Amino acid sequence: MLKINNLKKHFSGIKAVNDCSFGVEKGKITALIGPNGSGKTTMFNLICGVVEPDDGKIIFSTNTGDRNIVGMSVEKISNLGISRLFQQSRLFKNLTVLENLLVAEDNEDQKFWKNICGLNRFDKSKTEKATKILNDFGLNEITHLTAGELSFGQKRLVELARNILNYHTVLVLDEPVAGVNPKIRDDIAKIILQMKKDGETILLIEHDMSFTLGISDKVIVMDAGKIIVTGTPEEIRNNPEVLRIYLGK
Amino acid sequence: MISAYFIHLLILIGIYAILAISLQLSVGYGGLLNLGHIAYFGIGAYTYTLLLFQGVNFWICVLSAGLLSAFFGWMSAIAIRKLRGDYLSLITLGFSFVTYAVLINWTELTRGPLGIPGIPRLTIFGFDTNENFVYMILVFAVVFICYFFINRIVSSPFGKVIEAIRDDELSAKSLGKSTFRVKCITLATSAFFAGIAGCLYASYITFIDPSSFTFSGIIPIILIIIIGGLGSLPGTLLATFLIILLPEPLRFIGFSSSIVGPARQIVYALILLIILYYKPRGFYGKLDLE
Repeated sequence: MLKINNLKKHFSGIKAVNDCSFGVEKGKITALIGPNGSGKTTMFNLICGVVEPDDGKIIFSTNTGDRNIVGMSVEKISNLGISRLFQQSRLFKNLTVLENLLVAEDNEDQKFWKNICGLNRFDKSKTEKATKILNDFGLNEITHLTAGELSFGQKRLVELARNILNYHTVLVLDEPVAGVNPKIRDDIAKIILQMKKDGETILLIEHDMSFTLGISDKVIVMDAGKIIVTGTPEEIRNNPEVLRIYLGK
Repeated sequence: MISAYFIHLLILIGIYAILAISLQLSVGYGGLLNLGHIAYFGIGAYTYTLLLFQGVNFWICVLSAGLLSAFFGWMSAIAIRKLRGDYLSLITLGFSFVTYAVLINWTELTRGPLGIPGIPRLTIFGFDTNENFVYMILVFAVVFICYFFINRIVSSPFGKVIEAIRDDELSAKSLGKSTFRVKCITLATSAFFAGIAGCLYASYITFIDPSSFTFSGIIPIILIIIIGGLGSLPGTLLATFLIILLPEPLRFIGFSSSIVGPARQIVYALILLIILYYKPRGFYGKLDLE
């Protein structure tokens, strides 16, 4: 589904991502873990087009075949099917929760004359689709609040709902449960596991080891910009190198 | 006499309303602090006037004025492709100074500081706009069209994308939105209506010169959108009435004209301070000033 080949990114001599290669399989949850500064978020920024790599390829399987997405804009990569949840909340704070989701539904809203002439509206079918996912996430009470009024945990859930609604074939989730309370953490775990059952492909960064190892099919461990171990959660849990660099044991 | 004075004020209110509503689209909804709006106003006024003197049809003059202003609005968006916030303001501020310099120095075309006098008012749909009352109706018809069109934009899904980009551009991009294109359209539409306001101004005053389109002209327009509230069209209309009418009593106090001008600026500053102290979001603003 997604293949990272010899990807490199340096920032002023610091090797943030240093010759990394791995693959993300369709219908599986792949987790990227590592200590702070190990290059995980840079890797996500490279995959999503926020920063361009110095070298290497990112091959993404689309409907029209495999494509190297290096050098493509963020919006083009998104439209090919990579939907990203950011590490920090990036909701549109002055739009309502419902509007945040409606904006994510399709790209018809960018057609100026079509919108001015009333040929594209937030009609019943679009609203129902957004409302259904909000109901599924237990957010039906807050649909008309602006995103800026929400608690951190609610923002996380709304963002996750928005990313699911956005067209995608791969979901890229950057620390979905960081800083949320245990109840929302469990809710998000259930949502992600349900998505996996539904055949979704997910690439995940998360510091919460029990959460990550509990839901992932494959775990990739990064340190100082390099991939040091790849394996199943069980293999990672018992790997002495991982325990040393990640848990400090 | 009094009614003629109020008709004059209402015409000015109408012209300022168009300028403010169109600026509200780019600043309040789009988050694009565009300080070049007065330049689009001037481009519209000069385009209309120069074409009219060449014998071009009135409607083509108006449309060309709007479209040329929109073109420069689009160009501004290209110039600020990777800029936002302060840098965008600086570039558009620079654009307003460049426009002023061109208007004052391209004397073969604009007559420079001498300006262009004798701009005729025409008969439109059988109505003679030399009558100020008729002209006021025309101005308010254009205000209505401008309000309707911009309200249509901001209430549509396209308007929500404009607001989404204002709130978080990277996030909008990551949802597949072509933010650059949307910003271009926003600035061009905003500039289009500023150009139309320029036509109305030139036709009403019947004289234009570069001093009518200097940077200081943007101050009352920005004041209007802040006091009306960012992201609010009804607030913008209300604030236009307030900002144009409140300094008017100064005329009747008996001060000399050299005092009335600065006193007007002091009144503007006081209004801004009072409103922002008691209503930081303006009358009907939806977002905080940042």
